[in-house]
This record gives sequence, C-alpha cells and structure tokens, in this order.
Amino acid sequence: MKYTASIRGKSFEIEVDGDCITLDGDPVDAELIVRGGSLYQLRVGGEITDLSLTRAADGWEVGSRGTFAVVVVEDRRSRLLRELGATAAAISRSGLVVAPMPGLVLEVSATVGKAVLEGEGLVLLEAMKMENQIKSPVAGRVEAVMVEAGQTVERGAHLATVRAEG
Amino acid sequence: MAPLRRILIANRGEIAVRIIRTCRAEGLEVVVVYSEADQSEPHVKLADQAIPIGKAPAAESYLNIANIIDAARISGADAIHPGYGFLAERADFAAAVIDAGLTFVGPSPDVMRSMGVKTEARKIMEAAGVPVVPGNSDPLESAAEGRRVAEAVGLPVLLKAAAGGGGKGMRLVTSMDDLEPEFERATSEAEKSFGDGSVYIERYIDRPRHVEIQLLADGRGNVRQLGERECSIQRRHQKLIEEAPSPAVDGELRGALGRAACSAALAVGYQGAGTVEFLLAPDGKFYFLEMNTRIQVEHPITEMIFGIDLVRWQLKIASGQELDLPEHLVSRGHAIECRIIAEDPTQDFMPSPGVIEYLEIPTGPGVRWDGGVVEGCAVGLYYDPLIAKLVVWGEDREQAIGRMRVALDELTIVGIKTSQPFHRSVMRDPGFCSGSYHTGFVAESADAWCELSDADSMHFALAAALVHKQDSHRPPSAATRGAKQNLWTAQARREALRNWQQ
Repeated sequence: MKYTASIRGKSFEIEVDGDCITLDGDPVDAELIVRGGSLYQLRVGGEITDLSLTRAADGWEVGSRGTFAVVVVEDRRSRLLRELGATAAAISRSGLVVAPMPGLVLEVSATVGKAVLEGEGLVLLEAMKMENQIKSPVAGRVEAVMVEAGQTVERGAHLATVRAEG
Repeated sequence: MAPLRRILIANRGEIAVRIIRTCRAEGLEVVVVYSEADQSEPHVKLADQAIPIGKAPAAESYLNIANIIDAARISGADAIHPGYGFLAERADFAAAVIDAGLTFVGPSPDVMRSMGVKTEARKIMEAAGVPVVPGNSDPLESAAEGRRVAEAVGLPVLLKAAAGGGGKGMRLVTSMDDLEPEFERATSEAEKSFGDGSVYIERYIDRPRHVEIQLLADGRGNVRQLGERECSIQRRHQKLIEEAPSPAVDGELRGALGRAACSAALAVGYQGAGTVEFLLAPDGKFYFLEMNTRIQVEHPITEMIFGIDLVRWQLKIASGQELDLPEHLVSRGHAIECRIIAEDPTQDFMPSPGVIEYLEIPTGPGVRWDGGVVEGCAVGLYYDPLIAKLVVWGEDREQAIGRMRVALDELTIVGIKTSQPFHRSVMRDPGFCSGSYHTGFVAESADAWCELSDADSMHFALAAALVHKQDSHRPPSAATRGAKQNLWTAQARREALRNWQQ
C-alpha cells in the first residue's frame, strides 16, 4: 500500500508491502509496536523511540519527548480524490462555472454583462434536499449564462462563464 | 515551644508531596486537605489523614481559611505548613492559625504584612542599608508626584502596585507624556487585582538578571544565607528554569548579596525560611526587588548544592530550635531545575489541560523529580499548571547541563502538552550554555523550541503511515475512548483559555 505522509511542508512517500517498507524509494527496516492507548514505539534499524499517536482532525498527531506535529497521511485513493478536486478548481479558474452535483436550478442571478465579485452567487441549485449557491470563482463580468430556473442539470453541466477583470 | 507532633499541610500538588516526605521522615504525623477535584491526587494518598475541605475552585477549598482551620481542629494537628502560593503569604491566614492555638510554619503575620506591601518593604530595606532600585517608597499621591519622581530617577520607569509582586501589577513608562494615563491605568488595575490601588515607581533596569538569596533565620538572632539562585529564564515574569550557583556571581558579589540579605532578615526579625530577590544590573550593581516569606518553588537547587533539607529546617525553626548551622557554608557542584508545566510552548504557552495517560519519570545519579502527578491525574483546570520540577546536580555546570539533557530525553508524558520541548531546546542553546543570559532571554529567543528536526520529521511521518495502515483494521471502540477524553479536554481548554487570555 502506497502512502504520502506530509508533515510541516515536507512530504514522504512510504510504501508498505507486508514486512517490506520503503521510504522515498529506499528500503527501511522499520516496525511500529503498539504499547497501549496512544503509546507506541517506532523501531528504525536499531533505534527505538517512544511515540504517542492520536487522531487529529485531518491526520495524526505524533509526539516524542514533548515535541508534537500533525502528519497527514494519504493513500492512493484519497490522493486521487484530492487531485480531482484540484482539477475542478483549475477549470473554474478559467471562468467556466459548472454544476458540482446533479440538481434543479432554482434561481439564476447571473445575467450577461453583470459585474460580479469573487465568491458572489450566480446560480441557486437545489440538490440533496439542500440549496447550494454556486459562486463565481473570480471577480469579473458574466459573459454567458447557459441555464434557466426550473431546469434540471447533471453533474458537470455548464452553468455560466465569467471573464476575469480587475 | 513544644516539639511538633502532627502537621497539617495546607496545599496540594508537588509541594504538598515534597513537604509530606520530610515530615514523615522526621517522624511527624501528616494531615492533608483536598478539594473535590483532588480525591485521587498523590498528596492525599501519602498522608496519614486526609480531610476534604470543599469544592474544586481554590476559593472554596485551598483558599478557604475557615475550612482549613476546622480541618486542623478535627485532626488534632498542632501546626500548619502553608507551602507556597495559596495562603502561604497571607498574613490573615497566619494570624488565624496562631489564634487557633496552632504553630504556623513561617514568619510572623507582621513580617508577612510588611514584606507584602512593597513600599513598606522598600522602606525597611533602605533603613537597613540594603540597596533598592532608585524610585520612591510611599504610595504616589498623584500623577504629578509620579512625574517628579520619574524626572528625578530618569526614564524609563516602572509603575508598580504596592500590593503586587511576583511580576504582577507593573506598567512600563517610556515617555513623560504616558505617565499620567499609565498612572491611572496602574491604579485601577491594582485596585481590581489586589484590592489596593497604591502605586509607586522604580527605575526600569534593562537586561537585568534575577538573582535571589536563600535565608534561614531562627528568630533568635541567628541568620544564615545559603547562596544565590539564578532565575532569569522566565516568561512574563514566571520562572521556567533556575540554577545554583549563578554563573554571573563571583565570590565577592556572593558575599555582598549574602550580607545584604542577612541585613534584611535581621531588620525585620525574620523567622523561618525566606528568600530575598535582587535585580543584578549589567553594570554589576544589585538592587532589592522583594522578599518572599515562604519556601520557594525552586528551593531544591539550593538543597542539592548544600546537601541540606530546607523543609526540615523550617520544621526545626517552627518548633523553637536554634539554627546551629556553620557561619560559612560552602556549596558543592551545580544544580539546575526545569519546571514541567502543562502549557504548550509552541502555542505561546497556551494552557494544555488534560489527563496524564502515561508518565515515565527520569532518574539516575544526580536526578531528582519533585512531582505531584501520576498516571490518571487530571491537570491544569483548577490549579497551577506546574506538575513537577525536574532537578539535576552535577559536579560542575557542564555535567549538570549534560545530565539535564539526558533526563529531559528520558521524560515521557502522554496526554498533555508540557514545557518539555522548551527545556530541551534551552539546554542546547549557546546563550544558556555560556551562562551569559538575562531576563530577556525567552522573549528574545525566536522560539527555537518550535522547530522540528529532520530526524523527527522522518520518524513521525513513518510512524503515522504505519499506524494509518494498522488503524484501518482496528475496531471502532478505540476511537470512542479517545473521543470521551476530547470532550473533557475541550471543556477544560475553554476554561483555561479564558484565564490565559486575561
């Protein structure tokens, strides 16, 4: 299983295949020993360190000798999902606003030529029994509007385009 | 005075445990008091008798004079030891103890009162020929008077609360225009914090070192000084690391400080263990700061270099024995103390309350742990965040530092954040290791203790990846246990944050 572990801006690629562990491609003789509760021991080669490991909001808080840091661990699947999110953000940077989920268009406040701020609502979409305000990713001017109220849309459907200005 | 038989300790935590040990070694029976929050605390278990005295908040328990005197009556104690903090420097408490026919382990209420009002203390010291910081020794009548004093003494000055102390109730004035508004502010803050709005002025001494002298006096004219302690590693006037002897003090200065301190003790008719605090200016001049009429937190480092038990001497003096210590005591070696407090030094020393899940205490030659906690103890919600003092002795300063590094590496505390990484960093700091530092050290230190080494980065990342893999196979019950603790910690943190932000 491949993991990416990020800690204070540094990233490590760790692969665990049964007893074989590699760190950034190099094999490492390591073992995590459970001591009980949040107490563990990490053996790397001949060096053993006491560590505490507790779940943090977005990862694991690791502690040793009073020093603590949060490590975010991603496996391949969660990394792919995160990268997909980044792609969606890249698309939106170009000014094309798409529906992030299938739903019903309730209200369209964007009109061609309207000046909008970054984060300003363009289309109100009802999905999963909730109202979702779809926002402009940039400050600029609405160039085109492709939907109208009462229309159902699929995920990825084009809603509007905004040309960045200022 | 009759020998003491049964003693009540009006305190908790590490100092209660430390006093209990000496009392029991001396063959005394020990009674302790505890609040509702402290039922499972070590000091309760170590005593011969434990009496509950009220709800968790200190005002309802450890500061409740009536309840404590009652506890003494119920238990048949003949003396009360106040420790430090809480009621230790409250003259009204000392008077109540004496009125109840008990022995108070400490000086007389009159001495406590006069040393507690800083303007009174200054006057007494001046009369005794002890150098004081240039300033005035009576409460200022007006901002105009303050201006006159500040002009005479020279800016910058500190406006200090006469009923304050321990670094509290001080305001810095760097320009004459600020004097009037700061005087108003200082007066109202002093009124609010200490119930006494009296304010006086002392010249601000830049980059001072905080050096204090330990005294023992038997009230019969015998006074002994037990050398100095260097306490300049402080944050917002709260000490974090102390050492004895001071790297800044040579034999001649030690003699002068000692003589000044003894004059102070004789001038007030001191009885018991006490400490005279001085500011040591960069030019080598020293000035009286305040006198503490109790045993101090950092007393162990003096004990280690003199091979003495100060609490034992407190008990002897309290029972009327003469101070038969040689006139010129010579210390041996060097001692350092690191205060282990439940605060996170990487988050500006934010309180870190919680439950201690796991505790591994360092030991070995020259290593002393004065602690008040064990696994399972809840820390930092109602009381002082000091959980233990780690003290080491070495034949010289270098060995002491080496031993402290090792001890701090061995110390393992799981469940709360503590000052441990701060101490580990300071023990490797070139400024500290050279012995050349002053009270601005922590503020000027660029938070070196927040850094994560490359080795730690790698180990932490590896451990997290390995536990992540294990965790996906773990039953959910382990996670729930963690969640319960987080609810407690979250509430405690909210309370502590409120206090910290004030």
